[in-house]
Amino acid sequence: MISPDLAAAVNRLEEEDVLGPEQVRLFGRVARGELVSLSVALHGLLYLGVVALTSGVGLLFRNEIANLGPLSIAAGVGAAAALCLAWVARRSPPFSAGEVRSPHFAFDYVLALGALLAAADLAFVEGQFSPLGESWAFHLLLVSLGYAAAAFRFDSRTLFALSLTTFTAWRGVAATSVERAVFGFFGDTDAVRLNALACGLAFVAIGRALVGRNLKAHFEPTATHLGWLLILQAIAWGIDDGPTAALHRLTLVAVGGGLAWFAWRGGRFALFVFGVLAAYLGLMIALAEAVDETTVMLLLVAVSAIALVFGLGAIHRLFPKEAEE
Amino acid sequence: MRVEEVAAERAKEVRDAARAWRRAGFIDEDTLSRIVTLYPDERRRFGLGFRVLAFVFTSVAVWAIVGLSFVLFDPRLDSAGIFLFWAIALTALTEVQRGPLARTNGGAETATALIAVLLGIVGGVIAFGGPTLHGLVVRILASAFVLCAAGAWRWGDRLFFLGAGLSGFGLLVQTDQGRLLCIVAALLLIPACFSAARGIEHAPAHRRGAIILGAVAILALYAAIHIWSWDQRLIEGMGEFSSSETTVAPPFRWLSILATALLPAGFLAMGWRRREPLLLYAGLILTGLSVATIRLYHSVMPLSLALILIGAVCLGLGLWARRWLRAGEKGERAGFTADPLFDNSNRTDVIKSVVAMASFTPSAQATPARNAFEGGGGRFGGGGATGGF
Repeated sequence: MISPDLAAAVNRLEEEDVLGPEQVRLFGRVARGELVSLSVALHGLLYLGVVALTSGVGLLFRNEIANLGPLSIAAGVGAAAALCLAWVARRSPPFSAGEVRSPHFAFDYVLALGALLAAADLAFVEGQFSPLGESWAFHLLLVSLGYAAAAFRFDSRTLFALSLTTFTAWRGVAATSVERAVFGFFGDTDAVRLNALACGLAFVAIGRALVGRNLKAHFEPTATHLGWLLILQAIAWGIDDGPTAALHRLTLVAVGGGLAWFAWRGGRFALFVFGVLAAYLGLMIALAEAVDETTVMLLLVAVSAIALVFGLGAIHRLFPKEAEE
Repeated sequence: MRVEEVAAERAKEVRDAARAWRRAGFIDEDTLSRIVTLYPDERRRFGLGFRVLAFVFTSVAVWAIVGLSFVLFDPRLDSAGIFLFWAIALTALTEVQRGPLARTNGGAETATALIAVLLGIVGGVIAFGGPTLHGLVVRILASAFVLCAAGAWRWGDRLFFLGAGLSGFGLLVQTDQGRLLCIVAALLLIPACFSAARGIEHAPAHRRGAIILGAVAILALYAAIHIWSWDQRLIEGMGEFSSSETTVAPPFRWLSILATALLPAGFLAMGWRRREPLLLYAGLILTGLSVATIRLYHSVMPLSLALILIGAVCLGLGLWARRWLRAGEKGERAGFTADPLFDNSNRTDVIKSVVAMASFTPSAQATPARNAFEGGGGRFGGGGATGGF
């Protein structure tokens, strides 16, 4: 951090004998801007490289079929993906159930590139040759499982998140065909909503299992956060919809409130925010439905929001200071 | 800004840096607590999650109360009075929170300040021209510039610096010589901002604001000299009273081509010489834009191949640059290092998850203690030393 205040403070900390000479030299150089890290720029370049390459491959699939032929494009991209994943496999340390330090600066980027190219290639093959036929949506499940396997083997939270979102996408796509065939009484919207809810519950359970079995426990926040977002979204989806709307509102208030309560007790900051926002949304929609008078409604909104701000101030004192800064 | 707020900000910079040193393993817990004791926090703050909630609920409450006043007192929406009244009332509320209540980073005071400025802008627009549409853009920009600049000076919030910069350049664009004025203003503003960003006489919030203004000025300068913006008369077309019939002055076109090609390189060179990260980042981004401009005029290869080539170049450049920097004496060259110095971010896990899910950015790997930067300068000694580095 370049900061003249910090540079002055480093000198003071040296005089007060808080920092040693080597610490003062390094911290002082950084604070005065004499030593600057290009780490962010270099990571940005790698990220940009992955984005440009995958976008280019996407356009290649679309625009160059006539020139190159689908088979050669699929083979070329597949070979590039295999090269990336082979490099990753060669550089990767053995599997560990805990967090593993990245063995190379570009490791995560090459892994992401290889996985994304492989997924894009699979989608292209499915689109061109239709090996799965009517069950084409299952290629999303394959991609999701592939991402998950790579995530656990190479300790990638990014691929784990992608695996969960791709799984959710598969359920979203498959819901309208499979559930309707099995449970004829579901409409498309209900089926998608219930799938979102089931995915959310499953992800929360996965998160708990990861911690319980001490298997990649650092993946837990990803699964839990996405899980709760899906659960709350699935409930919120119904708050303005037909005869069960009132029940959905009540459920949103109860689930959001419960989540906020347990998150507060467990010190789970982000979940606390999710819970409070969801409960407040449910409460406000319920109030808007119950109160016809605009003036009363505005008054209730204002009073409840002010009460919440003061409530936050009171709750805040119970959270440890370190977690906030 | 209030004197006590500035003092608290200066102390917070030291505490934040100390926590980053601790996270990177350069100091131990005892040293951290000694630093925190020497630079105590005398303000009442919220963490990120509470701040977001407080901002949201305060905004909801304020808008509901303002709406209530409209319903109860039935004021005329074309009268500036009610908007200015609420702008002043919310300004006073912000002052109370930041002053006697000693609130900083609390979310609520940011919400009241932001809504005060927004309502002030509406009031200003109506006060200087009534509800007519004539000159509306100029009135919005002028009100926004004055109020954002005042908010930035008084409260130091980054959004106000951004608003002041954008509306200021937006105002210049409204004049007959908008492009020329943008270039002149940016050329004056960029060095002034980078100088202010390192001046100890300025409050930390104002230094950060200077960086934001500098970034806006860089973008404005590039937009003003860019050949495509020149050919399309983009700047001239943004004026409320402009005529798009104006023809391009041919003698200066080659200058615009030259500037589009050379300006990014100039920023890169300046950034390297001054060790200014923002100039370097601007140079890199604008280099990408200038390369994209070439393809806009000359389609040298299919877009798909161009993107693949650019991606490969970015990956190759990133890897080469890192290797080259690390091969220098003590892992640095000309004061630059490829390694992260101190991770001073305080992002929560949820933000990391959301970012990873929203795009496919590989998330940062855990960095073990004392591995962030290896200066090769020997071992630590003295108070709070934790070993070699």
